[in-house]
Amino acid sequence: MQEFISPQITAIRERYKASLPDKAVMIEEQIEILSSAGAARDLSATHEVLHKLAGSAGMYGYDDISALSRTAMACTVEKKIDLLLAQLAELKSLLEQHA
Amino acid sequence: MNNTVDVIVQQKINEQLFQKLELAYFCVDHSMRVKDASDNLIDYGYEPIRPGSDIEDHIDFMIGLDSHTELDLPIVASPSGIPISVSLLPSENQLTVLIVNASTQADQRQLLQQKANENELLVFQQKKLMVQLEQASLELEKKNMQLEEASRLQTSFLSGVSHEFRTPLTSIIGYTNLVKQDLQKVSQELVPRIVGNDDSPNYLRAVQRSSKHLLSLVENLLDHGKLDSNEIVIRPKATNILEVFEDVELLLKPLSNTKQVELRANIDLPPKALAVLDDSRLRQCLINLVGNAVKFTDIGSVTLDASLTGEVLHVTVEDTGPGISQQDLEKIRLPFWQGSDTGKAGTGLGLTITERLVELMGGELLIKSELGKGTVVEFELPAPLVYLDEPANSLEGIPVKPLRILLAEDDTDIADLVCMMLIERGIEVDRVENGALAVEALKKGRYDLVLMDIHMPIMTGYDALAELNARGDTTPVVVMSASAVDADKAKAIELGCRGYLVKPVDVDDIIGMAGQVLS
Repeated sequence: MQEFISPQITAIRERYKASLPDKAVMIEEQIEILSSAGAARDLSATHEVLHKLAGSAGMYGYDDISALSRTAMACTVEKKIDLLLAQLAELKSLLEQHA
Repeated sequence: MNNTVDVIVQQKINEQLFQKLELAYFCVDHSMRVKDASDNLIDYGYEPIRPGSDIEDHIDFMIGLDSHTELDLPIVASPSGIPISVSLLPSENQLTVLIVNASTQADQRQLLQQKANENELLVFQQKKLMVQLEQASLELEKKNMQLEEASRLQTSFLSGVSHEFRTPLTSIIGYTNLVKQDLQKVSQELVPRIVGNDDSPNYLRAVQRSSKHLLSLVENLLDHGKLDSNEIVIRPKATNILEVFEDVELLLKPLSNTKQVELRANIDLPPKALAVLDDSRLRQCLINLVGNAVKFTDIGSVTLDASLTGEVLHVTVEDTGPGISQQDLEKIRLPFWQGSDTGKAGTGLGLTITERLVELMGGELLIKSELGKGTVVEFELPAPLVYLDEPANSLEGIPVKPLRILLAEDDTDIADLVCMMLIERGIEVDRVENGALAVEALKKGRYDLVLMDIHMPIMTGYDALAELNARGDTTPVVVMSASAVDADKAKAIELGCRGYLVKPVDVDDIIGMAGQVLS
C-alpha cells in the first residue's frame, strides 16, 4: 500500500535527516568524554543523548539507529563501558551512513 | 385343665427344656455339701457326685464361692471342653447351681470378637494408609516445589544467558554490515589484496546469516522466558492488518523461492481496515507459522489464508509438507521439542511461543495434520475495527467536536513530527516543552487528552502527573516515552496515566490509544 506523505511531513523528515551528521558529532563527543574520563565518568549525559535518539530516530523510520541506541542505553545502565564504546562507534557509523 | 394335667404338662416342658438346653444341675447346703446332682453332669466331663461330699472336691469353679449370693458366672469351659454358662440360685436351705450348654453363645461371642478384631485391624490399616498417603502427598508437594524452582531457575538462566548473547550479537551483525559495505565500495579486483582471498565476501555472508540465525534463536529463548514468567504484555493498537499480512508474505517469499515451494497468500481483508490488535505479536506468530511451513515443506505449496468475519480475524496456514504423526502431534506444543528431522530444527520454541501469544491475544491455535498429507494450522483473534475513512474525531467514544490534545515534549524533532501528523488528522494540538508548562496550560485551557513525555527539563512527566493529581485535574494523560522498562511504565500508571506508548510511535498508535482512553 502506497503511503501518502504530505509536503509538511516530508520537510520535517528532511530536516531530521539533515540533522543526522550533528547527531553523529554528538555521539563522537560522548565517545571522547567517556574515553578520557577514566573511572570518574558520568554516564547520565550519555544515557540522555541515547534516550532522545532512541525515541526520535524510530519516529523518523530509522529503526536500526533507534534499536542500537536502546541497546547502548542498556550498556549505560549496566555500566559496560567497553561494550558501550563499541556500540557508540557503531551508532556514529550508522548515523553517518544515513546522513 | 385340671391339676393332674398341669403337673404332666409342666413335667413335659421341663423335660423338653432340660433336653434342649442340655441342663445339668446340683444342689448344696450352705456348708457346700452336696444334696442332689443330675446324672447328665458326666456329659460335661464331671465325675459322678456323691451326696454328702464337699462340692469343691468335684467342681473347681465352686472353690471360694459364697452359697448365699445369686450369681451368673461368665462362660467357662467344662472338663470335657464344652462351653457352659453357670447360674447360682441361693435359697434359705440350699444353693442350686444350673449348668447350661453355652456352645452357641460362645460361638456367637467368638464370631463377634473376631469381627471386632477384624474391624480394629481394618481401622489400623486404614490409619496406616492415611499416614502413608499424607507422607506421599507431602513428598509430592515438595518435589513439585523443587521442580517449579528448577524450572524457574532454568528460565532465569536461559533469559540471562540470552540477554548476554543478544548485545554482542547485534554488534557482530552491525560490524559485519559495515565491513560488507566497505568491501562493496572498493573494486572487486582489490578485494583479494585487502582481505586475503576471493571468497571473503562469501565468508562475510555466512557470518551474517549465522549471526542472524543465532539472534533469532536468542530472541525465541528470551520470549519463552518472558512468557514463562508472564512478563509479555500484549499492546493492542490500531493496526492495518492487510499490511501485516503483506509484510509477512514479502518477508518469507525469498525463503520459499530458494526451494520448490510456492507461497500463496489469499488475503481477503479490507484495505483501509484498522483493527485494534498487537501488530508486532501478530506478525511474530505469522512469521513463525508460515516460516515453519516453508521450512518443513520441500516440494509443493504453503498457503496463507486470512479473512475477517465481523470483528474476528481468521488465519489458516496450510502446507503440503510431510505432515505430523498423531504421536508427534501431542508433543509439538511442548517447549524445546524437536522433530526427527534435526537438520531443520531450531530451538523448538517457535510453536510454543506462537501458541501462548495467540492465547494472550484471545485466540486458540488449532493444528490438524496427518503423515504424508501436510499440516493445517489455524486460529481466530478478536479484531475490533476502526476505519481510516472516518475522521479521527468521530472514533467511537471520542467527542464529536475536534479533538484537542496538549503535547508535552522537549525534543523538537519529535514534537514537530507528532504535531504535524496529528494536525493532518484534524486534531487540534498545543505543545509545551516541559511538565511545568503542561501544568500551566491545563490551568488555562481545556484539553481532551495530554500526551506527556517523561524525561523533560525543569519538571519531568512524573512530577507533572503528581502535580495534576494534587490539583485534582482529571484530564486523561497518555505517557509517550522511549523507555520500555516495565518499572518506568509501572511508575507512570501508579501516578495515574491512562495509557503508555513506547517511542517510536506513529499517528495510528496515538489515535488508537486516544480511542481506547476516551471510550
